[in-house]
Amino acid sequence: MSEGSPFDAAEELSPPRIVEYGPTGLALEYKGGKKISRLFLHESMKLMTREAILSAIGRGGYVIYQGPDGFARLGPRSVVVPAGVVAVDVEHVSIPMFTEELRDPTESRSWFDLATFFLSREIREVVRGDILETRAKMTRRGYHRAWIEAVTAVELARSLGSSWGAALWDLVVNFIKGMLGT
Amino acid sequence: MTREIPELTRLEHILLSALATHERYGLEIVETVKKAMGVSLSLGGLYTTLHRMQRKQLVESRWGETTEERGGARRRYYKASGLGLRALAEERGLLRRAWRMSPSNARLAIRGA
Repeated sequence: MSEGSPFDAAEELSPPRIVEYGPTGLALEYKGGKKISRLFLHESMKLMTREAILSAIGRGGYVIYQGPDGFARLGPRSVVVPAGVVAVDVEHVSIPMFTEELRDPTESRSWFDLATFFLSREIREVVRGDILETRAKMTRRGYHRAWIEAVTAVELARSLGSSWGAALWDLVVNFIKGMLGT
Repeated sequence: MTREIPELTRLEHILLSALATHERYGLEIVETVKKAMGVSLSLGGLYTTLHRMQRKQLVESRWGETTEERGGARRRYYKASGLGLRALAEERGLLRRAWRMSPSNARLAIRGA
């Protein structure tokens, strides 16, 4: 039954190298040249060289957050966090999360998609699918949408771990408040 | 060549018990464990553990079907491997032997607790 290891991702999990650098962000390539991914940058970083960016990330104080256009972005905590943006410290984010492909801008526009983006690569598809299946079941059974969102958030927060579960919870509370008009 | 039987963590023991006779995917495993033991597993913790167990060759898996309600994400089905079943049997044998080692009055006290 086994089709070999489904998670033969050692190569993909190797540190990426930057292969392209431009005004809109970083393009990264997995070792072996298999994947090109893009992580967008905060405005204040667009004039930095690639070496300066890598050096700055290494010193800490940088976060990944959802930009106004819905894309995941990398930016300095001191600039983006006071604006009330939910963000994840770079040091809490593993390399596979950095190198996710963002094929379709709409994929990262919902809080759910943004949150699942931060699940580790090996488990993302199955966790995401199981949560969506649970949400569909709850919808069929007539649960209120706010309750479904809350159950989803709890499952995601537990799955993501404590490093940024609280931040996710804030995101969801704001979402539900907005939905309920409170 | 006989492969060394790995020791199991408590969660590995629980998951192998759930997968010993049935192939299941994540939500089914969560529901089975919840019903049988009252333990609530997070999906992230579950799949991370299953991933580790697969590397240890305790379980086997295959990709399953997707449905519209899963947004294109496939299910992943797991079942205990031969090594996993041997590890489970070994663990249960050990617990049985340990249990028999207790004086019978201690066992009665535990049962009455």
